[in-house]
Amino acid sequence: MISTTEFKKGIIIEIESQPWMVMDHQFFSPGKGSAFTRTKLKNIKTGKFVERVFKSNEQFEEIEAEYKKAVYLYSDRKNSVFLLKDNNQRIPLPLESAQDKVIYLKQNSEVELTYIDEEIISMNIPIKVDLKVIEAPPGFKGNTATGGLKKVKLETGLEINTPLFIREGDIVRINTETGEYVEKANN
Amino acid sequence: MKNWEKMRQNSSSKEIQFKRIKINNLIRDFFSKKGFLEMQTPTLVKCAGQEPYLTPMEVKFKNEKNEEYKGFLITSPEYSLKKLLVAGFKKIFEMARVFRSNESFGGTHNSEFTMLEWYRADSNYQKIMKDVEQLVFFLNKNINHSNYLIYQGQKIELTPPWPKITIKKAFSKYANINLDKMQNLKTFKRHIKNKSYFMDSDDWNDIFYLIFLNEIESRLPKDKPIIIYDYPLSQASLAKRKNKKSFYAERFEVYIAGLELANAFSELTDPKEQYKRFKKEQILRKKMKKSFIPIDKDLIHALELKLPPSGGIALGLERLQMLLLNIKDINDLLPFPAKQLF
Repeated sequence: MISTTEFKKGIIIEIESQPWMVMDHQFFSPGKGSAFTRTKLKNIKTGKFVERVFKSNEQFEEIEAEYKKAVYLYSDRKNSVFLLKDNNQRIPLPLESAQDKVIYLKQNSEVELTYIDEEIISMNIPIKVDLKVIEAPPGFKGNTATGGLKKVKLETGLEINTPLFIREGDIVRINTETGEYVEKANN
Repeated sequence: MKNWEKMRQNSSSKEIQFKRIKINNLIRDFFSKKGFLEMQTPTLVKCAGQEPYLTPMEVKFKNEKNEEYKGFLITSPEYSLKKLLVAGFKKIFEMARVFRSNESFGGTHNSEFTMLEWYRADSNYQKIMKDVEQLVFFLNKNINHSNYLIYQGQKIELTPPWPKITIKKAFSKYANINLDKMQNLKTFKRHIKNKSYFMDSDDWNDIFYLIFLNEIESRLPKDKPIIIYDYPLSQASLAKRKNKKSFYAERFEVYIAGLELANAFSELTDPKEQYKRFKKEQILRKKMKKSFIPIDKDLIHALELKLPPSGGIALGLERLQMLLLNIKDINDLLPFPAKQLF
């Protein structure tokens, strides 16, 4: 068991059988009631963020997680396959659970797998990735109907909106949390 | 690097300290123009605040005959200032150093901080609401030269009057709870037993706060300060009851940008009722295994001599400085935060 006073960023606690990672925590005492701890929590299964306030000294079950580095190899119709770095073991993950992350990954991109009780709970990928544009329609001046954006296709098959000046062959930086174009990366 | 070392290296980080002094001087201007007297009351007292949820710091010391005394550092100068109201001062204020144990070193807390308190005799909490609106507006006008404040990216319009909502209305509006029907602990507990933030507690005030903090506070409008008023009596030991049988007392809190800035009330003037409430709190302190604090009989005596109807407020001065100077952590405001001292 772990008390709110021992909270640290990154620890995982169990609330209603779900694993929540403590992203932020702050003590505060209103003076007219007990002391409380404000937290920002991330459900590491679903990626959902919530803000919760608990009574200080409330006890939680702490979940020990293990993090393993892996590289992305390929996807077939059913699975995305990763290679664990430390023992070269191949790990297939069902496409339906991995797909929303895999669309940002090139072959050999590094990822981090979170294990709880030997089971893979989530996959962390870099917040920003650089990907090559493989198809881009020419950008026309004065085409403001789309707010000065156009749709391009990236080397992973992902389609995103970019400014009009982006051309085939450019490398663009993508935010994997929002799925949005950030900037043109230096080639 | 400690804050004083940073200031030595980088002269621009001294700016915060210049501005804090300016704020304090402006506060003195504000109150002296309104005819308030600045008081200085003791920091070391025999009877600290009785609030069950606060932990005052104990001090042991001796006189010249080597006789030992036990005292406390104040958590608020309230008891002394009320005695001065009874003594006949009508409008008084103090910027008092106060101390609280078992609070965090940093964030919005520091073990030692400054409480700005002011009191008006022949008055009530509504007049104090007007004072606090005017004070914050005046300070911001002189520090940031604007009618609004920008705090951590949030624009906050400070022109009085500020929005006001009763705690009862806030509960029904934001949490869909009728507080009138939740006066009983069991009913209250049953009502929220499925909430993920509720573990288990037998304290009515804990449940009240858990709902307030999880469901109401984050939904309060942030583009203006907000005054929440008429709190349950159980959270207003020194405040006047709304009326004889009311569940609520004339107490208000000021929130700016989600920060709890000040706590105020129409003062309780009935000595018997005050003694009864202190007794009750003493018992609650014992139940919570908190230190024993003697009841300040001197204060009860003062009330017997008649405290005029009065309004008073305690405002966290460092929090106000943080708001005016757009500083998120008190450790970046103070030259010597507890975190760097201990």
